[in-house]
Amino acid sequence: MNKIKSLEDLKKIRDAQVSGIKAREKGEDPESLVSIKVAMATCGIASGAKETMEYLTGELEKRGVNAIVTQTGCMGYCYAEPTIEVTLPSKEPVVFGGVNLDKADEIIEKYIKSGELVDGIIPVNYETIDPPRS
Amino acid sequence: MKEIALHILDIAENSIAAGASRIGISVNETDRLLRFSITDNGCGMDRAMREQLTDPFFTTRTTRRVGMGIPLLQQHAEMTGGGITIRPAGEKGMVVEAVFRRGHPDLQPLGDLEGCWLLLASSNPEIEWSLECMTTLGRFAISNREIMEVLEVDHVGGNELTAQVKELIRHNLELIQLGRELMENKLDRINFIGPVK
Repeated sequence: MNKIKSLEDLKKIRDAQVSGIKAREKGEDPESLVSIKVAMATCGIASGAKETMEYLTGELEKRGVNAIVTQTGCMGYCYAEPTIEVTLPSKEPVVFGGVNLDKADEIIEKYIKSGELVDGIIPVNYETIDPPRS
Repeated sequence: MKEIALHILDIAENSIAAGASRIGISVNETDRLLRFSITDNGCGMDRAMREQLTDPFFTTRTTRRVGMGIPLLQQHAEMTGGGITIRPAGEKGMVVEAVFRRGHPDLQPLGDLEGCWLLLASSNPEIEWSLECMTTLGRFAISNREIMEVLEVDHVGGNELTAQVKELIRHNLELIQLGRELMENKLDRINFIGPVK
């Protein structure tokens, strides 16, 4: 493929692909989407949340999982960064800690694809060591 | 933080939290200095808050008691002989500017600037994002509105064209050789240390 040097080049590629994109957008129903929030505050970014997020976005697309990956602020689990919150359709959100690329792969394959729980879950009733400031 | 681009990603998150609808990132490289600024039109802040910003134990969030973003950036900039300034932009909003001295051994590589910018633009499509890069060789500017218009999509990223958009930006940054010398510095340092056995 030729190098993409300008917006015109981008438009050409887009025109070639446009039918594919439209087909996918139509198939998206918010109820059936997996929602993933990546904690991207200073603690997360310093621990590699950017790589985790790029990996998740890319891999979910490649593996054909309909998902929305978004950013969120610090969830308060700075010791367990990068953390992600995964919400499967009609299920409670689950927070995973220490999500490096290997862990992200495991979460996609096991939890997202077949609902099987994996190590690294941060329990919902867990609170930070210090009580939150009001 | 291992790269300057990650600092940019981190500081821009503050602008999102401030409710900005327009966030501009500009990176400017001269022979001696590397300078980046993040300008937003968010809620801004008063003088008292601005003075507390560089205190790592000041934060607006309630989940924990420390706010390291600005202090880490300040530390890194000052380590290279530069510094940061935070000032109001227009009637509303803020500008965070950081200056680094190029060629300084403590200067981190610029890193994946296009990746960070795309990540911000793709996760926050309601915000108008712009990226402007300038070196002695030229200038390159792009915005998410521009990309969305050309591609006729309602958001940048999260679709099959993300990699292509990234390539477009990277190609143009390479043309003006942004961050190139930083990489050479890094190689010099590795050579200086010698092979690891």
